[in-house]
Amino acid sequence: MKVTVYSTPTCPYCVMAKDYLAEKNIPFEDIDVSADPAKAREMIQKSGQRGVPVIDIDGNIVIGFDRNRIDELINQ
Amino acid sequence: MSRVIDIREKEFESRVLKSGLPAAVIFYGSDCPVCSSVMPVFEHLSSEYGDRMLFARVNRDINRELAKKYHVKASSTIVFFRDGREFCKTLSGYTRRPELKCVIEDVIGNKCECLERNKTECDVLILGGGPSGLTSAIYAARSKLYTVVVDNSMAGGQVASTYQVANYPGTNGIIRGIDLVNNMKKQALDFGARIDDMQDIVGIDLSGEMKKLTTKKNDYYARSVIIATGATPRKLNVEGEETFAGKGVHYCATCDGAFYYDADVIVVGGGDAAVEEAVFLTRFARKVTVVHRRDHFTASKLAQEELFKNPSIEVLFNTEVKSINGKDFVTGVTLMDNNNNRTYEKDTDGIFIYIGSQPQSALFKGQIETDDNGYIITDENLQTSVKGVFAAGDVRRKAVRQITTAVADGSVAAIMAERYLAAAGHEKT
Repeated sequence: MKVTVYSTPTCPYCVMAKDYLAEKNIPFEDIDVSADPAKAREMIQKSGQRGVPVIDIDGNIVIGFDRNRIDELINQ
Repeated sequence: MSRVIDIREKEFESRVLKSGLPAAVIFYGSDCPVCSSVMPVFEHLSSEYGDRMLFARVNRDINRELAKKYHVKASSTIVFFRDGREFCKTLSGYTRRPELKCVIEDVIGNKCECLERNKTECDVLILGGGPSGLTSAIYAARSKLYTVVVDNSMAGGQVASTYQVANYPGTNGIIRGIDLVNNMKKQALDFGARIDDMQDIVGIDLSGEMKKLTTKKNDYYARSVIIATGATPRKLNVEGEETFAGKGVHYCATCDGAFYYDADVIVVGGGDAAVEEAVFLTRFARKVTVVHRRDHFTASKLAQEELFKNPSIEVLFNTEVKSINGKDFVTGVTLMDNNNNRTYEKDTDGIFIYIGSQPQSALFKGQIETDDNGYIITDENLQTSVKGVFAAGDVRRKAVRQITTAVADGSVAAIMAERYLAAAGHEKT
């Protein structure tokens, strides 16, 4: 499973989402979109929106810290 | 006819563990209202299953070592045994007949399936893990009350998404919101409170002496409840707001401000949050326009000074947002000048809405008294219209909603809950 979290350092829901993944022992790549405009564009393209966090789980896009959706995808 | 036998510590091994039958052992205490409700059920089931299971009764006040060995912390607690060992799960506190019957049949059948739900009994159940809920938890846990905080997300509340908190005493005015609540959380945990976050709340029943909260995984039974569910950002309720949520419409500048590097953004509102977040957004945005329907801000003077001296901020007083427009993303808004009711278009890349909050009280609808806006009505001791149920923080009807007042509410509610429990003569769990 490949998991990418697009986040900003000042966003608490990003921290929560990352803590949650860590708690579930899911390794993920953390991308700070505030420091990387190219990755920010990539995130907007993938998700169609500009809010963080956006989580890419094997190509499935989760918008916001949507725990039920995350659970669904990591338990597959 | 009851087939329950009384057992003392020294005969436990010979008569229970080596009885050759599976066993159900109820640990009870003297002067325990829960026990007097569970014991008849236990006795009744013993007559039905007494041939296939041993039913025993242990007074935990006299047989302390035994109670300690099986981690009995509440009266009553039922522990099951098979082949000389503890088996399946332990049932503690209020136990209904179908549940007990189900477990008995499981244990006799050498399985443990009907207890997938966890059951928790506590003195103080706190709903919401923001500053008021966590403060209640600190006070209640320090009073040695068994205290559980339930939150449907990660504990933290609205403060978690506040970049910096300037006016919380004792923090030098430079603490990040998330650090402030994390400190509170740690303090509550250190004093022995339990925090169950990420709970899917199904329903609550506030009638009766024991209040019951049902989540997807757990059943909570509580002698007192503190509602500290807080509030969520209020919506503008204009066209385009929902369509463009996350696509230019935002409620959290600390989260999404970074997407507006070198952009034009609008902030709606005139309170502390609107004024402070407008200043925060100038870190990224080229220009910030604050739109406010009144002719002055209600934010603190200092926050206003910061805003007015910032050259990247423009203010439109007496102005309302009528709609939010765009295609894939927001491209502009329709504004109305309240002085002459004239509407006009304004281009913008994003809009951040800070127009106050709405209470999260839908769960309690019909069970406790609220005002027309859904804020819970309390007396000066923060008791709601239901005895033993208190409300604290932003969810309560009051004039001033600050972190400091949430914290004050939290301490009052916890102390009053403790007094309520003492007056009701409850033993501590």
